[in-house]
Amino acid sequence: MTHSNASRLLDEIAAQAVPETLDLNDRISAYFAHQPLQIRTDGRNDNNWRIFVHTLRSKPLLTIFLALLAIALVTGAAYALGRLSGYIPGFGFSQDTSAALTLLEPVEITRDGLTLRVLQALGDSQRFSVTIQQSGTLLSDSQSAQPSLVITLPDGRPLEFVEGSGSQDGSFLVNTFHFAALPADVRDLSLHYTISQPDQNILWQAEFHLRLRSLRADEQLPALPSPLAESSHGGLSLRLETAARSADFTLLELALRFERRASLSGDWNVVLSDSQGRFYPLQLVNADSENTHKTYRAPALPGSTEFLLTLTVFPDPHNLKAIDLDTGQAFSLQGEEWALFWRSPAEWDSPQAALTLPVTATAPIPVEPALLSLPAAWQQLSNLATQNDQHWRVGAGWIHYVTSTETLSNAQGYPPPFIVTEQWLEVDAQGWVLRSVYSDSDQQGNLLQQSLAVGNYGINLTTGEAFTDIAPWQFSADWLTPELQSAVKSGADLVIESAPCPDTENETCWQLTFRESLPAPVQNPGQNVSYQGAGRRIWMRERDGAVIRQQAFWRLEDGSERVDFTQTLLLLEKLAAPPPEVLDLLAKVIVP
Amino acid sequence: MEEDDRIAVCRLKRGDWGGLDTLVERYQLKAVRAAFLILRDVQAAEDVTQETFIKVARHIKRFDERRPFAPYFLRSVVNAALDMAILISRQERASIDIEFLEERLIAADTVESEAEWNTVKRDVQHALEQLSPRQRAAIVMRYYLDLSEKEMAAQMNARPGTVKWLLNEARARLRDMLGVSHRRSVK
Repeated sequence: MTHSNASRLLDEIAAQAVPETLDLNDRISAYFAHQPLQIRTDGRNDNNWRIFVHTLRSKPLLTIFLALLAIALVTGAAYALGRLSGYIPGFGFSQDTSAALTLLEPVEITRDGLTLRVLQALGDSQRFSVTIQQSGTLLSDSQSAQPSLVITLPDGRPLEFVEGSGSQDGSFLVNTFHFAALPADVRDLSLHYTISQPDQNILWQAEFHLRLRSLRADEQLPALPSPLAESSHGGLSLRLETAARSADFTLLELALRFERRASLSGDWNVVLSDSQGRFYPLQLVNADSENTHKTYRAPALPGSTEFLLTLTVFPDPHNLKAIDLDTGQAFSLQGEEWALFWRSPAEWDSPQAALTLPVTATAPIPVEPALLSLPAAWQQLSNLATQNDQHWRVGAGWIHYVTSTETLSNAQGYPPPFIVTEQWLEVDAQGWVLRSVYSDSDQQGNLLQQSLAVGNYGINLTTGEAFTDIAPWQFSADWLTPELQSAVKSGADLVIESAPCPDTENETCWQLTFRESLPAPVQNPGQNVSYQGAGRRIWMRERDGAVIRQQAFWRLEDGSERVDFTQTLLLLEKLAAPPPEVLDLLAKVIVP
Repeated sequence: MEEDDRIAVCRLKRGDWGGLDTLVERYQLKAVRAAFLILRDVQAAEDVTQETFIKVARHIKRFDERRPFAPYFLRSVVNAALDMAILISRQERASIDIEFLEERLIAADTVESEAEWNTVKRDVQHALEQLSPRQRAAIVMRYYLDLSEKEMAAQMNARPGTVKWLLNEARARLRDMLGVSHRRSVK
């Protein structure tokens, strides 16, 4: 049943205050002019890397599960930053992107068997360029024919031509013509495209108009043809489409493209390394909605250098699938070795592009939050845990920290049901972490995932993702005190019992069980049980205060518990130096 | 219309701002008016609508363009307006039974003269002003956006049930709060 008159009545009431002349477009455009559009594909941010590597110890009970979800999404898709730092694809770096112009509408002309399509027109206060795709064949011999372009301004003057370049892409000829900057406020241009033989004999010509508009903040432009490097297997190509370098960084645009009509599902990334096996962090800054085109930001790369771009699919290569849109057939891309060799341009080689490897954390040290006062019995336990933690927090060296994590939920993706995480952490005298290596392995010892961090920079060697804003942090093996603080804040119930330590003989532990309740039972879509709350359980050795296990669980409406994950301490030691392979690995990370 | 929306969403997903312009032009009026009916403040209604467009643009990649855009967007606006209304008017008390307002809205379908139409409109306008934000949101969803009872229940995070259940629940809560029966005419 509809309520057309009721709807009309309400519309009339609202119309008294909200007239039809309403226009929010200007307000929204003004907003995005100051807050660049960041189209996100999920709720992920850079801090997830911290969540992944730093355990879940300081989270309130109920948010622990959100953190677990973040772990499951560690391989998630891209978040976009859009056009950044003055880089315009197909144009290069612009000193003034606010004055940049682009094509208002498509332009295409077909005459005598030849088709011209203006792929792009871009300009700023320094220059103007037009890229035109030419397809079809001329009636007469055109083997040695060359195209030229003359641009006439509205006042009849020609625009100064600077240079041109062209490339053949299959049956298409793509030419880019570079000119001097357009006068201010010019938005309409007359173009005269001519194809001539060396003797100036004109084979074909056409006149047409272009209209321009201002480039909006963070507007994305289509990449131009002619990849810099390409690797093809079974109808699929991994292509490096463009590469551009500023003084501080390099942008690389990569694409997975099919020769046939196909749709890609699943996420992918690339790892960038050079012939000496050094890794260059790639920060994903943009991805298209079809998941076929990605832009990465790398450190300022040297020129005349051979690079290797390797496709990665995490955690399971089966995750990357394609569907042939014509036949409807799905095919997995598993087992393919995707590697792209590319040599950076010689002109990139300049002294100021020298790469350095910082060995100390340089970011400001955050102030730790003030601690809340704990009930006396809780404080005693906290003191015991803190006392034990001092050994790890004070004094420079390398901390070797190994834990196992059993995840009993049925969450897909990562982590799998059982992993062992080995951490090597270089700490300074106050326990601040300078460099780190994290390795996840399965029960059989197979390496699943490996990440490195140097100062604020991190790179996941398995997925290729890089992170540039890792906040400084101090190592702590005290899982208990943050949990006690959290319980005070949230009003969680705490039961303290003396019990045998898990997996040991003749050892006694304090077993602490924290329980929190939801305001009302919650039933997640697709599940047949309701949750009334969540809880944590921590085991701390009575003799030395070492926290050796923590567990998170859901509390079901029927009073039972469903354990979500269990993390167990396997090894904790402090050494003067790590194994050579750890140092070798760290030495390979290129940090800007 | 849905095909045009789908194209606009796809354009926005590719980073083409023209897609957002299209969606704003198409839905801003309905959205601001829906928000106004809940908030009773034009500026706040425009702010809420603008914020919702911005949120939608930022998270457009999560949106499956095969789904219709309009219901998704307008429901988001109503939710945002409701949140804001609750935020700025926590102490608001309803002094009218929502059943009365429903009766007047249903009566609008049988109005024959312009004078009668204007009387009903004035009654509804007055009644709206005296409802709680949540009730106004329920009225907007049901009678302005023409959502089904099931869609409304889902949208307002209610258990599966009917809109009558939802509205009755609001009414019962009001009675508890005020301790009296509120059924009266606004005339």
